[in-house]
Amino acid sequence: MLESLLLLIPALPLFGALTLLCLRLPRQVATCIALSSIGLSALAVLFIQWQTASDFTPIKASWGSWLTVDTFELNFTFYLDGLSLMMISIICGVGWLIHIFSAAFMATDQGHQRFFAYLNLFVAAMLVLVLADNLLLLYLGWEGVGLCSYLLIGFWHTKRANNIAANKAFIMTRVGDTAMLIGLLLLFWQFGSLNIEHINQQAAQLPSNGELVNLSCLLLFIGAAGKSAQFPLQNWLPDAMAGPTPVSALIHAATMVTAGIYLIARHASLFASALEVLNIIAIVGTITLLLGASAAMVQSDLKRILAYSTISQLGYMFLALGVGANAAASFHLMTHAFFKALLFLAAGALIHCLAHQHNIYKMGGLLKKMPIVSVAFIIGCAALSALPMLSGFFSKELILSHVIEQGHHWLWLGGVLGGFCTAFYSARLILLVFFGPVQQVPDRPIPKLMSVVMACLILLSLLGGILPASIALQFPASTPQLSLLTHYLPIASPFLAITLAYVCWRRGVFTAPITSPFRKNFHQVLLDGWRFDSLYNTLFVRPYFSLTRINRHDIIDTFYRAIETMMVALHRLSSSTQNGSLRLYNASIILFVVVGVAWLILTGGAT
Amino acid sequence: MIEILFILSAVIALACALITVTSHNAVHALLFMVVMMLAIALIFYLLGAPFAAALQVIVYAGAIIVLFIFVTMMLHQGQRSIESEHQLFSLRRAGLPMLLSLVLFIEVVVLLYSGEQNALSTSANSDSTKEVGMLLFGRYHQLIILAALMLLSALIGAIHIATPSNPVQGEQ
Amino acid sequence: MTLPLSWLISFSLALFAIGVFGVVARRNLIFMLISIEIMLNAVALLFVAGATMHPGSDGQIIYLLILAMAAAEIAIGLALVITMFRRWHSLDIDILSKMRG
Repeated sequence: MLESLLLLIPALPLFGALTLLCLRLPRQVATCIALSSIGLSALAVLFIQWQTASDFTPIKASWGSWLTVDTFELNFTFYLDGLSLMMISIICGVGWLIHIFSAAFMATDQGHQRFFAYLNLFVAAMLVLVLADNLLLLYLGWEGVGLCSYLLIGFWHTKRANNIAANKAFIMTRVGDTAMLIGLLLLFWQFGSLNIEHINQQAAQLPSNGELVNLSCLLLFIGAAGKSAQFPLQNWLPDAMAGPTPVSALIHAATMVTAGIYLIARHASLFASALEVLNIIAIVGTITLLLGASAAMVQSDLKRILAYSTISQLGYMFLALGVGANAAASFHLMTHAFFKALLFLAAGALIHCLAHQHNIYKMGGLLKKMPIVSVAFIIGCAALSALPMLSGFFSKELILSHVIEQGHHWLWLGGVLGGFCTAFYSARLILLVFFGPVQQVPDRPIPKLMSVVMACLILLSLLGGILPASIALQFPASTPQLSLLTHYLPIASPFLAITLAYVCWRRGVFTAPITSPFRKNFHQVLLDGWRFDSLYNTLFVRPYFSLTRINRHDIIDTFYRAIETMMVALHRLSSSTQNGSLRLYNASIILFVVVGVAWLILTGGAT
Repeated sequence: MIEILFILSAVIALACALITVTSHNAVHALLFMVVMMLAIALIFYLLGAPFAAALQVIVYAGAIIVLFIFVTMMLHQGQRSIESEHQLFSLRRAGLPMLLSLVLFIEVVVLLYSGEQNALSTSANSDSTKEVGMLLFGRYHQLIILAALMLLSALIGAIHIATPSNPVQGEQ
Repeated sequence: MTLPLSWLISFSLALFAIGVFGVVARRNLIFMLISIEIMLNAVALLFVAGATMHPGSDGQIIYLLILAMAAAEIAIGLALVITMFRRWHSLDIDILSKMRG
């Protein structure tokens, strides 16, 4: 019973996607199909959760066999355990809410059916990724979500900037994907199988820090870093905001970017035996969280703030994974999905009602005008800043306590600093958008559907931390003994940041023009996301273009054209002997005789 | 004795041949050619082939060269021909053909002298003509018929080719 | 008192070489035909000289046939020369380049 449900869960969105891609349907029917496919999957997940609440044994089910080579078998097998159950709950639950939101958001758009088709396809691919039993099926899902991300970012494809952003996202994640594929092959070489359980079991028996295991874990991590926008592959995410806001909410906040974290959490035993790689993961996570948080402090585009915020929060999750706190990382993943989706959807509603205005400096005083959006933003930002008793609070504190428990002082300090910056930019965002003088008035009311969805997500952000937190606090290893400073500093720093932001806002620091050139430069660097775009431009794009300029006349083609030219020259040479001149013919006969006799003499053929 | 005669006539033949091929005047060239033929006829006689010597003089020098002279006379335009011939051929520009024939000569001489050296016996056979006659009408009678046919076809062909096809051509 | 065959052969070949020179170097058709005659004569001499190695008069028979062939060839050649002169009023062989290509 549960097995067939498990098979149905990824199949329903896939079927919905295919229907929407192939048939031309009226608007209502298309929406209905899209929403119902995800809704039914969500119901199935709920049912499974209810059934397995008491005791949970992993469930396995299969769509069929994929390839069989000699003794190596690979099937479309799905595997459900605690981690993947949590993931599919998020995917189907939050995904369904976002689908409902999109029904209202894309109500007047021309490509309505295409949008839902891609969205359904994305959910199907993500489910395949999460439920996959073996690495190749996971990679299939991985590629699928990359494809759907590309399709959805460039959804409004008539605008060139959107296409460029979609290309950027796809190409940068591709770099990660290639590394991951190599890692996958190395794992297969090492362990003889691509089955995740198998690999985890075998890895636990190996001595730690084996070279091949280290290398393959590093490559898998690079793949995860590409997908989850970590340093140095992080600058595609801010540009990916060119897509419709529900896309940003679903893909770039709640689900796709969490695929990397899921990958590492899944291979817990494998990564546990690659300690150097775990160190690298932790360091990269810290760098990324500081990078994202600092860049978010100066952005003017509403969605870009949220994008950098996502990068920063993903850094937290990787930091947790790097210190071995997988449960904390997954917990933060869940809470982040809630409040980030809420923030993005609220931003979407805001942009929708302000006639596609993205600049926060042009907004203000919307607290009274758009109450539900304001509440959504305030609750979401509060959860983001890890204010006490909200969902984000529990998960972030868990991560930081694990970090300091392992003794990584600098990483912990980075985490606290990141928390400070997070609270700062969240407060800045709220103060600039919702308080102060009114600059632009919303020209239409918020659709009912959007409000309902936001209300659901508000509830989840408020309460979603409590139940799992109580479970998490029961883990024996996870209640570390913390000193007073390390316990209370992370709790107090958001409040300090909010106070600072209020003071700056009051003094008008945010809107005042910057005079000193040093600050101006620094401001610009942060605004450009630490200039990674121009770095990659110089490192990769410009050399490539100069190579193409050198090869303008196609060096390889020149070789073939040289052959052709030589042939033509030979042809001209030999056809010049056919000039009809009888003297030449005579002479050539005699010449041939002379040469022939000479050859005979020289080779001694005529004695 | 025979050797001296041979060397003499060989030198004459070669000299006349050289003058023939480098001359600018066609008639002069032909006359020198006659002398060359006569020298070769002498060599034939020295080899003990009097019939061949006679034929050389009668047919080659006497008929073929005369035919040449007829045609040359017909087509010769006096001084103009000689001057145009100066343009067409000059010894200075003939370096490469000279090289070519020199190389050819050297090659075959090398070939010749890399083989065996045979002595040759000569005898002035007075009976040889009778022998030739007996062979011609005996063993090789078919060859005579074939040669005659060949000459006949050459005759007909020459007449046909040289006949003017329209009145305009004939008036030249 | 014997004549070494090598002398005869060298003489014949020298005459042949002179004929080759004439054919290649001259542009006047008549002179080319003359040079061809010289070559033919040289070859005929070679035949006769070689035939003296063997008993019998076969050499002179072959000389007769070579002669007949030379006569026939010259007849036709000169007829062609006459035709060419009638058409172009010149005996330059470079005019006969219609076979180009």
